[in-house]
Amino acid sequence: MSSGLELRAVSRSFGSTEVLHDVSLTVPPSRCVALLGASGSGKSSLLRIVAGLDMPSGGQILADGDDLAAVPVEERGMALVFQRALLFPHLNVVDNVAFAARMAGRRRSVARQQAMEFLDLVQLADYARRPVSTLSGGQEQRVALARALARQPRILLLDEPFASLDVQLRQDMYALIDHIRAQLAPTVVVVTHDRQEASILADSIAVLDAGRILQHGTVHQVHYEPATQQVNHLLGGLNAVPGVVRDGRHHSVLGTIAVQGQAEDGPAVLTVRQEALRLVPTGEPGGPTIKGSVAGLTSLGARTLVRVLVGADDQADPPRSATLTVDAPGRPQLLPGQVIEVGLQDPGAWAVPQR
Amino acid sequence: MTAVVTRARVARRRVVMPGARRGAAVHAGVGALLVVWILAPLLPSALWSVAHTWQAPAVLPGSYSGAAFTVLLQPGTLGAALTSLLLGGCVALVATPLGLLGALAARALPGRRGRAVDLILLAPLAIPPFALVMGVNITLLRLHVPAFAGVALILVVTALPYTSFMFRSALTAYEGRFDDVARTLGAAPPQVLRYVRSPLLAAATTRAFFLAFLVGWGDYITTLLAGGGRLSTLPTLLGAAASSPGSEQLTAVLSLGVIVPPLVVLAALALPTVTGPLSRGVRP
Repeated sequence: MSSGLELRAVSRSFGSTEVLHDVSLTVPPSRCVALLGASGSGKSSLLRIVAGLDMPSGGQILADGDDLAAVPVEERGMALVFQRALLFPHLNVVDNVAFAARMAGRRRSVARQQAMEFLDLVQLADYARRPVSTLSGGQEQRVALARALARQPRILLLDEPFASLDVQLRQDMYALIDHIRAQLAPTVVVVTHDRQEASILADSIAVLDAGRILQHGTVHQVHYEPATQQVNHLLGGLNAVPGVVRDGRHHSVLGTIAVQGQAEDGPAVLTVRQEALRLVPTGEPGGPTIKGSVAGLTSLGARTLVRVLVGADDQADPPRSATLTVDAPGRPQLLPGQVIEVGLQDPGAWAVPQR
Repeated sequence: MTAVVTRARVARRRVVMPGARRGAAVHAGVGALLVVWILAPLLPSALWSVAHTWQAPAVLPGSYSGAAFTVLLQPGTLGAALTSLLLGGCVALVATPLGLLGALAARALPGRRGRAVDLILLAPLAIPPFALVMGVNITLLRLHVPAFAGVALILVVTALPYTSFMFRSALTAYEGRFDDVARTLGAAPPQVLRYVRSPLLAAATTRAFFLAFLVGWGDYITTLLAGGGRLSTLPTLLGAAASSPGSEQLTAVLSLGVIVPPLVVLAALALPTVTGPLSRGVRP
């Protein structure tokens, strides 16, 4: 049922505006890849091109090695779920789900019988005969998923499908996607601007910015081993300290910190995730720490972001200070200006070339 | 225990807030007033159609007779009704798809070009029919266009603003991505048209068709001038009757003959929406 998908140097221009530049991406069969990017990054355009709803200006889309250029949308064997469920309002729930089978020429009774299996999968079998106008937002999206799955697509495309749902419903939908992947093992490409959603749903994340894929890697890689400062920023990394790499060590106002072995010598930015830092009680024995003063606190509810100023707070050029942000559990009892120590979990430091 | 719960539920259902009751009464009152306002102009025609004698200053006819209704069954009247029916049908059959195409073009074209198409489609509304027809009739005669075709052609232009406006409104609410979804679900373009677009635009199509039909069915000036008196329709019969002194009863009967059939069709179209869910359209 599932197929591998390959994008080779796909580009798309609208007039003189190029929205996709040489995008290459490989999605193995039964894997889930998230296209993560901000609004206008080109991720939805890319998905429409994969689905066949738009044509690329250049490059190739291949499914199981076959070029899809001449294959019309309805013969690509893909299904697309949009942010809005877009259920056909003139059909009831089961007939929406049976739509693909009917288009394939199956008898209504057979199509409905098959549709019931997919409604059962999304736990909405009891709603089969209802008009779609009576469904809630979450139910609509479940039906949209069932309708797409009933197509038995070799590649399932999800275009921000849960963006309009509230947090609780979104969690339910994530669990549902997990369940569907375990049951049917479809190849999935999901477009999202939510890095948490991408991390939960996908096996790997392709970070898209201004029509280019900046990095494609595992969830851990894009978070802890970003290819560029921009990836670090898009993945929510709050720490970027300029300095220089020499012999696998980054030198900056923070001191000398070991980074990845393959880091090239030269000007580089130290990226260390706020989650990889911890506040160390004064005098606690252990590894090396960085001493600084509390510059500010931001509550995240169950966690707190602590901004720590390291170095001299003056207007010198180059700056002789840097601010580190630490994601700390609970609500640490700290006062602005209080001197504290920050420890680095190993391995946590990663240097990216400075642009 | 179950009975007690059921009774409690029924009691709860019966509790209506005083404000809601007052609101419902106001709605019903306004609705009744609207019905009276719409039907009141028909009352004189209805009375005249059955008035055997009705002399001023009497408020109501002195005596009643339904004899004038026999005119509706005369061959001349039936022929005129058939011509009106054909004219309305032809105008609707041509103006409805043209309206859809115009609305699609206006939607597809960006900015000023789309608005220009809108302007062209709505322009006939700004032109009085009399002014539109004058001159055209001579041209049609010179081109040897048959009277029926000539009248239908002009009435299509008159009907186009109504049909295109109907589709413009419907397309504004129509989500184009329904087509995309259908395509990715395996529907070929003809299937998208049949199973998605047509059912979703069915209500607008019906309304547009009905309005265009009315333009043809009820037209007087264009039929008279462009038809050069060669076309006999119900409105031209009515006009002739109205211009003859002492034919009030005949005029009233012919008036009702023009008014009532479209009202019946309208009621037939509106009833399903009043009494139940909208037509489900074509079910794949």
